[in-house]
Amino acid sequence: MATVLVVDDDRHLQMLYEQELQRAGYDVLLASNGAAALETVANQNVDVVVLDIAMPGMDGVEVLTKLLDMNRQLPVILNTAYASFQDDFMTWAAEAYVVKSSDLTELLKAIEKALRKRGTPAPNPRNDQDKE
Amino acid sequence: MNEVLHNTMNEQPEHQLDNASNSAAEHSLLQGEGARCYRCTPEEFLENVIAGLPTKLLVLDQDLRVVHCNPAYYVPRGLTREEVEGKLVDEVFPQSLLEEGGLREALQTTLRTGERVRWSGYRHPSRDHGERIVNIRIDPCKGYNGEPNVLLTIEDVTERHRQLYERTILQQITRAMLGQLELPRLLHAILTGVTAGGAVGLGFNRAIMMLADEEEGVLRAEMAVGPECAEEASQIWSQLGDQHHTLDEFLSAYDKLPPPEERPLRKLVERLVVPLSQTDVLPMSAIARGETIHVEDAANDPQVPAHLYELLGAEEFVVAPMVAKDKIIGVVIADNFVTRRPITASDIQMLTALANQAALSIDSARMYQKATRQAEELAQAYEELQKAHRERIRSEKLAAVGQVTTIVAHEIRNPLATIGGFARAIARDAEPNSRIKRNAQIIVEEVKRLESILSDLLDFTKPQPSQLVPTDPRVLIVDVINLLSSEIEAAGIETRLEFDSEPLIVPLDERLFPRVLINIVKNAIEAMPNGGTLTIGLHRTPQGIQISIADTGPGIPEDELDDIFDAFHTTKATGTGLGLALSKEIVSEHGAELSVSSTVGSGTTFYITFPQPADEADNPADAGEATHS
Repeated sequence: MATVLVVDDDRHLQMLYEQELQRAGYDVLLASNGAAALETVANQNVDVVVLDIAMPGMDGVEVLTKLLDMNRQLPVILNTAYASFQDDFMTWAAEAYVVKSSDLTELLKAIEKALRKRGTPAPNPRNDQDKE
Repeated sequence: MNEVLHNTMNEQPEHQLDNASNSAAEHSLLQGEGARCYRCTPEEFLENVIAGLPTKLLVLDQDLRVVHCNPAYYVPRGLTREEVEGKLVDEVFPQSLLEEGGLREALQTTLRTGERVRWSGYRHPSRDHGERIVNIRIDPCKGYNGEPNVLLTIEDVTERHRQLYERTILQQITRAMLGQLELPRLLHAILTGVTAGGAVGLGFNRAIMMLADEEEGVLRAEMAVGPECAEEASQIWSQLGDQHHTLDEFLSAYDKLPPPEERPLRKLVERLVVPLSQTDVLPMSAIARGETIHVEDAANDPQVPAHLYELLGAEEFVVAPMVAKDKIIGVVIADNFVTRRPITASDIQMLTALANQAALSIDSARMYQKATRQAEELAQAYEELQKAHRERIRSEKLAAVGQVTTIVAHEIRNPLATIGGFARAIARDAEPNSRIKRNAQIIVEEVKRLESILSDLLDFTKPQPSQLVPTDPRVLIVDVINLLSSEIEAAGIETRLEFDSEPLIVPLDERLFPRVLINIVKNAIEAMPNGGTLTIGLHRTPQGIQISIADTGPGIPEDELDDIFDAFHTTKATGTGLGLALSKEIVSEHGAELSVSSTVGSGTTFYITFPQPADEADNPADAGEATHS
């Protein structure tokens, strides 16, 4: 079972991602800021990170740099409202770049693709699971 | 004693005359000059004094018969005193002066009432001198027997008037020149001043203006005024007729001039060119010597080169130099080639004065022309600056849009993603055909719409680098029309595609460019809610390859046209006002230009113009040929 860490300061968005990713068959970990994200990656098994770049506290790009310092193989998918970050060469190190949307299809595809590339088995969607 | 006499004569001339022949008192007074010897009687002395007066002097009796007159009167007429004295005034003066001029009435009035008459500046034509200007005085005096007589004095002031007059003319011409800043008009004004006759000009027959051309090193005839020949002269001058034309009237004649190639003296003007270096002979020698040169015998004057003599065809002429502040302006050549009236010193003096003034006027007219040109250049530069300024404001607005967007986007994106995401989940999990499913679906759609507006904003502020590939736009145009066909049909709009048959290839980003077309076509559809015609053209024009998108909507008022490409400018109730601003950005990225023209009441046309590369523009037929081969 692949584990996805969602790093976002927006509590409701965390809930949405948690629900939808679990539904898609992933284990989901949540972090509200950069420091918490780094701690989680250090202590737990994380297969993919979905990272919002623009968060209070630590800058998203900085978090990305530190995450990659810890584990060069860790796929980090940048998920943000800002298309402009695509021009920041630091973000080139990211696995993928997905603009935030109510439609999570693209994000799910990006996660699946990242996992497949690293040989992690595809998750089994759990259609019946709904935390709400 | 002399003083006494002097005073007496000055103060009381009538008294002197009265007693001229028989005053013993005066006699003794004059003899009282001590021991001096006198060679004449007092009568003879007074006679001599009167005879020496330049003023014409006549004494008339009650019948207006000449009792006495002085040589100033009869000598110029070739008469003797005896021939005049005793004659009636009618035999001496012309009827025109007596009757129309009113002299008889004036004389009779003075005889009757003793009233003095003073006429100054009276003009009358004289038999042999042309027009004369005189001051006339009529004073009462007593005759030999104490009966009332009149003393008529006539002072010829023609010469004095002429000098005054010439000065006035010069002033008038100068004033007229000062107002002239248009060079050809000024030249004509000067030459008119030189040639206009009678009351308004110097009265030369012909005048030719030659101007220095420093670049080519020549002095070239620019303009000439005057008749070609004697016949033409009499014709022109009889038309001018009386002297009551004002100088302004003459000057305004410029507007009625025929074009230069039909003007009189054209051949002369065309052929009269001399090198500036030829300073040893006329006309350049006048400039070199800095003085007006009077030629009286051109055929034998070594100063007159053969070609100048041939061209002018005049024996006598004057060349006046025109120099302004050490700058060689040119010369004025004037002659009396028709009337052959000798050129007087006064004529030369006036021409010189006029030429000096003309030089300054021409110099200032040239400076004015230069200043005008510079002003035009400045105005153009200003126009460009303003355009650049508008562009800058536009891009500053874009930058402002970017900042606002960056700040707001994140704040809106997250809640939107949450709302939409959960609505999707609800819609997905709800019972098919249930109200919950339908309502959630509505939320999903609305969020989608909001997110697409956000995408517009983000794309707008940060356009993706475009990838330009040579493409024929017609395929994209047809795609866009197909994409929007349901909306076009719903509005009842007829679509016309007018494409040149030759392939027209322009560099296009296939991802970005359709957005421009969609945007403009959507605008066109919105402009025609009740139907109309949408015409999309693709043509090769002199400006380059052009796509035109025309609607038959209400049009855009002119004052709004400038703003429609500005970010956040919108007249629509819905929409961000970014569509056209974004389109302009994208079109610019293509190295093309987006422009608009609109007529209120008949519609709006947008143009996307791809400037033609120079080598293609040279040979536009090649592309057409290619389709046949």
